[in-house]
Amino acid sequence: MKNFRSTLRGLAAVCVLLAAGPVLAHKGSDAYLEVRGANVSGIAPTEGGLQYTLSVAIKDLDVLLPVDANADGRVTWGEVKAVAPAVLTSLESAAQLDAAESGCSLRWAFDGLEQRGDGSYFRAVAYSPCPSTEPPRFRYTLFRDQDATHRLIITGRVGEHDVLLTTSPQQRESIVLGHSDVEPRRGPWTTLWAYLSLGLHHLLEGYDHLAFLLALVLPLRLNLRSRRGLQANALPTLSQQGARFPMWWALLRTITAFTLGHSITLMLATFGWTEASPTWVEPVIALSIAVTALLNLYPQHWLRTEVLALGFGLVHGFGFAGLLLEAAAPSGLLPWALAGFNLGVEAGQLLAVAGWVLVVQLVVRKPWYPAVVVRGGSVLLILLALMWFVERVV
Amino acid sequence: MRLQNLHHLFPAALLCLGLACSIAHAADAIRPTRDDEVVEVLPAVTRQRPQARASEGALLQTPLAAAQAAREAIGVARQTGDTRYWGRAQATLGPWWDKPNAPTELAILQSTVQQGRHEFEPARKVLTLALKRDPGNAQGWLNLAALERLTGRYPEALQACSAVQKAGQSLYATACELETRSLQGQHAQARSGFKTLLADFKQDDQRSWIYSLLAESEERAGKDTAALAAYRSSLQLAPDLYTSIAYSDVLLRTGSHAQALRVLQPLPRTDAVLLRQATAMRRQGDAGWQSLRTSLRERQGALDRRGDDPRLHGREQALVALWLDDDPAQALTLATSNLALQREPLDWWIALQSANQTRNTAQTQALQQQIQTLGLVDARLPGGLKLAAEKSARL
Repeated sequence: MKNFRSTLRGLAAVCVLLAAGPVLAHKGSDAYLEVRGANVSGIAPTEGGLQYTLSVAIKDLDVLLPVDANADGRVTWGEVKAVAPAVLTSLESAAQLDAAESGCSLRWAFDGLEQRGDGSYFRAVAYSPCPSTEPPRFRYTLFRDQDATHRLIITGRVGEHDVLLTTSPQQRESIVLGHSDVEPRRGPWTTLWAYLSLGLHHLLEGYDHLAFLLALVLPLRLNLRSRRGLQANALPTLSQQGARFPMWWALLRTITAFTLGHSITLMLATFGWTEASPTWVEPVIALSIAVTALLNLYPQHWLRTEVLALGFGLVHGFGFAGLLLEAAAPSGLLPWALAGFNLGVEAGQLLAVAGWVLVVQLVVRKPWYPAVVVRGGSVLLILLALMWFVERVV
Repeated sequence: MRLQNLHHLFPAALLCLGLACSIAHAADAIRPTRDDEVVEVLPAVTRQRPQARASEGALLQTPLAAAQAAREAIGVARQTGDTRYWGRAQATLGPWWDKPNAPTELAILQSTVQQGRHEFEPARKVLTLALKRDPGNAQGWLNLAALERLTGRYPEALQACSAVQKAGQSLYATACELETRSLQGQHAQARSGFKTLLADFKQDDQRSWIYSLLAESEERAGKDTAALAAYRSSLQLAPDLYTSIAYSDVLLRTGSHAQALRVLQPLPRTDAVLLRQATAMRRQGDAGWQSLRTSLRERQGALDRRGDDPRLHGREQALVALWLDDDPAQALTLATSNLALQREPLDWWIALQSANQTRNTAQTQALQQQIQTLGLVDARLPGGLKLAAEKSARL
């Protein structure tokens, strides 16, 4: 113990000299895997294969193999080089791509050492030349029987996705090097919640969806005061309500139609049954705003607003789908993600419409409401939408 | 679309914060030129190679060998503060871990590992079950008493101490009882009791342990000079990480920052050590403390990355907020939730200090009320001396 302490004292002195340099960590044992596309300049790096760099603490390796061959507690460079072939053999089975990728299994090569926060690490590299459309599956079992709390921290970039994962050798299943998993082990409810907030934010921050909603509700004179007396009577049935409050009834039908429309295409696209390219979806979304606003100026009685909302809703749904696909919903939890996202969009719509209803109360009873708010607002929306259209086409 | 890009950047940003060190070092592999260059120093446990490693799998299948290996790993975990050795101890106990029919010895070792990782509640469960099956196990009762004291359940601790007595270990039972009684305010009785025990125990590590108990008792009695002397005696007989840190705490509390740094300097640089070094440096006006603060932040990131429960390090986090970040409000939040995990005098002290600094008198009173209900008497806690005086007046 005395020897060890004096060595530590020496180490501590070096650390102070290095200022923010490495220090012994107060955490369990970690190994690190970095995955990178091998052709850095390529558009689709997976096509060129992947480069794997694995770093394992020498302290940990010594529990598996006699790294410290003369057992004096001091591991020399010579000892590391001598044991390297045995380490690589262990890695070949304990840090490997899944069986399905048998043709392109990793062949580890010794690369040298690496200094990290808690000591020296053995660094191995491997290259997988296999072109792959699927994200690779990695199986890691190193130290499964030697350290119950060992973890592998995976970083890097595979295809279009940043990878940031943590796995344990105790885990029975291999890990997909596909997407970042900031919240590991997501359940249905957390997925629902996460995608609900994604949907909500997307709607509230997606100015084009808001503009479309505005174009739809502009001509409706949503006067809150006209509800006066409702509480006094018994609650009327829906159709009675519709007759008594035509504007509110119209609002409900329009929003529901829009919802129905975008839910359909969102579902179709997310499950991969249809596909839509953003090159036409994005400009058409802009056009939908212009057309709806134009119809506010020149109402066509043969065209019901809810039909319009339903039709354009279908196009907006493709817009949402692109986002959902990019957010890489975990495939097993896709229905939950979809439900959450839809609920989030709906919540966002309700919030936005509620906000509009409150704001519009200031002017809704003014005689100039139709001229200034409806017509003026519609003209502004048309101009804005045409600008977006040009932006998206050019 | 733009939003989406930001979304992708977020994990990358987290990564940079959390693993800043590692990423920076990942650039080039090091290949020393001389074969005899030492690249790593191993703690004692892996230096010993009990027979051939190849047959280790078979070796560990016997409870006896597993217990031996677990004890070694636990010892190294304690001496180095390197958490990986708790994981190794758990692995050696693997076949018996969480098994209701595990041999008592192994169940007790499991609870020791859990206690070392601050998983106090699971540790207590395992221990209680094991002691139901084997009520004559003195070590088990001693561990349980420690857990009870740690969570402020002094009457339960005393019960466990008397079970140690029944198991035939009267010296250990006495030490156990004296420590608990000292927490309850019987400092004078504890002092004379520990001094008697120092004569009874013959081995250095046993005497070192009693000295550390005496030192802690003297601190609670408000006798810092006596406490410092007892800590020194303890460390001279057998150096120990936990005792060294407790020693440095008295030095920090009494303003001997340079001396505290000398005590901390040879210790393995665990979070607890780093935090105290930074505090001492800061109080001495040494700007170097800021780089230590950065290291602590990076370690926190690495812990999060592993998926470790941050609540298990609540005490250290509260101290960081209190001593290094000048954020007593945050310290109070952390310290209060930490009290749900552990309730040693230091944990109450941190909470009270934070409440005082935020001038939160309601919280201060609530804490003092809790301390009184618990029956803890400690001169270091605001109002503690008064309580101690009342208590001795009543006796």
